[in-house]
Amino acid sequence: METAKQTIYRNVMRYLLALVLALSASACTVRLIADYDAATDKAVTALQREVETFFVKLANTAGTTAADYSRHRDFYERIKVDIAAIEVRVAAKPRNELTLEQIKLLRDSLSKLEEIHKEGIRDSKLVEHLRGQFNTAFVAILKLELTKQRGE
Amino acid sequence: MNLNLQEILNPMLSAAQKELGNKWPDVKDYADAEFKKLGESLLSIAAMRAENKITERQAELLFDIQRNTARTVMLTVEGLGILAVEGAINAALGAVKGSVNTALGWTLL
Repeated sequence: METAKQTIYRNVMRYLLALVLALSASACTVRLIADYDAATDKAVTALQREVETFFVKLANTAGTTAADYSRHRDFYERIKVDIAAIEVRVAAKPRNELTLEQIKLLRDSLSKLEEIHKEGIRDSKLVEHLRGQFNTAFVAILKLELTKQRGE
Repeated sequence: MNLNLQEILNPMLSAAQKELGNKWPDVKDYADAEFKKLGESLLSIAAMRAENKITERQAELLFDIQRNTARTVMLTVEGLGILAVEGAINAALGAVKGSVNTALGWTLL
């Protein structure tokens, strides 16, 4: 036969368990970070492809007038729109602060790329360096996004 | 130029390891590879400037981009750590699912 003390203890434990688990569990699993978003994955991958294409063209023409900033204004206009659209999408998702911060950093880096370009591209080594930096950033963003799939 | 890769890589890895504490083993492989790339990049900026392939202003901007990239990598490392913790919590909840539901008398988990 259960004593009053045991009953109280059991009820308190039930309440605590229910409270803790209800607060932390959503659909039976805890989510500390946003879910994977296929649209973000696709948009970041598309932007990476566009930036990569730009670097390939620039590396082939470095040191010539074909590499002048004035010839590539369209590229910068396009990617500003692309990155703004990605930022809005990422910001709309809950618990997505890490990815949002990454996209803001990428936007800043693209703006600095434009400044570098305005100063002139004298050597393909500079382009290769920039290409490596942006690829590292894109890989990092995509790695986090893909890991959000959590093996599903 | 007197800098070498190991000279700048070790302090970067030590700082990251200190920040991440016990989450470090989960992300070590990725962090090791990425910080090596970042260290090489820093040396590359210094070399290009020394060879006058870039202006001083471009070197500053390249360094800013490098800093943004390093921060982006760190955010991924942080995210992977959080996902590892999340996985551990869910595994723990999964392990007690049956007994918790039985104790409560209804299906919570």
